[in-house]
Amino acid sequence: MERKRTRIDIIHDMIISIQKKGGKIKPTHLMYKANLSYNQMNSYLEELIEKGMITKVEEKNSTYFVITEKGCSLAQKIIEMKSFEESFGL
Amino acid sequence: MIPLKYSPGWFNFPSIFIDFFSFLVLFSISLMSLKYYNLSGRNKKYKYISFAFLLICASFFFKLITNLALYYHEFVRTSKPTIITSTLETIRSYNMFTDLTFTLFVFLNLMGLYFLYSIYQEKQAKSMMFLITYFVIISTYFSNLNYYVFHITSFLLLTIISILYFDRYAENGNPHTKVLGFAFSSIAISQILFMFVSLDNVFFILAEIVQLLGYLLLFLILRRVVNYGKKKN
Repeated sequence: MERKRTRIDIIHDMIISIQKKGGKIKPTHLMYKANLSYNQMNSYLEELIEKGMITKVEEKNSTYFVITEKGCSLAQKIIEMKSFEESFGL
Repeated sequence: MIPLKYSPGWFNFPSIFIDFFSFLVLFSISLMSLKYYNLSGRNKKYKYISFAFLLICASFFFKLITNLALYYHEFVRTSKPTIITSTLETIRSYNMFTDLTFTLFVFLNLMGLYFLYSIYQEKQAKSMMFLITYFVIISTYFSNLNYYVFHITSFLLLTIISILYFDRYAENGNPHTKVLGFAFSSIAISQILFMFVSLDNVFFILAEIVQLLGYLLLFLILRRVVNYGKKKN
C-alpha cells in the first residue's frame, strides 16, 4: 500500500512539477501534475509564495507560477533529504 | 585495561588522524540528519538518526582524548628518561582520567549503536530499552576490566546493524543502502581485529585501517547524497 504523502512530499512534487515545465507552470497543470485538489493547491501555493519559493506572474491573460532561486535551492535540499532517507532505509 | 596503548609508536599520529576523521564523518551525518529533521517539519526518524550518530560521535571524542592523553604521557616518559617526571599522585590522577574517558567512550559507543539498531525496530517495549541500557552499563563495567567485552558487544551490534541494512537493500534496491551495509560490516570486522591487539600490534594497525575503510564508505554515501541533490536539480 502506498503511504500517505507528507507536507514536504507535496511541496517537493509541486516544485518538481514547476521545474519540469521549465520553471513556469499554469495553475491547472500544477494541480494535475502534483496530484492536488484545488483547495489543497491554493493553500500550499499561498505558503510557497509567502516564503518566496515561487512567484505569481500574469502573461497574456493567463496566470503562471514561476519558481525562484530560493525555490530551486529548497528543491535541491528536499532531493538530498529524500536520497538520505532512502539510503538509510528510513 | 585500555586497548589503545597497543599502537606502535610510529602509528600514534595516523591512529589519531583515523579517529578524528571518523569523528568528523559521524558528526556530519548527525548534523545532516538534524538539518533534514527541521526541513521535513520535524519528522522524528531524522531526529533519532541524528541522536544515534551524535552518541557514537561523542564516544569518538572521548576516544580521541584518551588517545591523546596516552600518547602525550608516553611522549613525556620517553623524551625525559632520566628525570622523574611524575609523582605517584599525578600517575594516579592520570590513570583515573584515562579510565573515565575510556568508560565514556565505551558507554556512548554501545548506546549509540543500540539506539541506531532500535530505530529500525517497528515496535519495542520500554522495558526492553531499560534492559538493554542495563546490559550496556554491565558491558561498560566489564570492558574496563577486559577490553574484549567492548569489542565483542560492539561487533555483535555492528553485525546486526549491517544485516539490517542489507535487508533494507533487498527491499529498496538502493545501492547507497548496500554501501551502508558494507561500511558497518567493515567497522564490525575492525572490532574482531581489535580483539587480537595484545598478540601483535600489527592487528592494531589492521583494525584501524579497516575501521578507516568503513568510515570512508560512510563519507562516500554522504558525498553521494549531497551530489545527488545537486545533479537532480
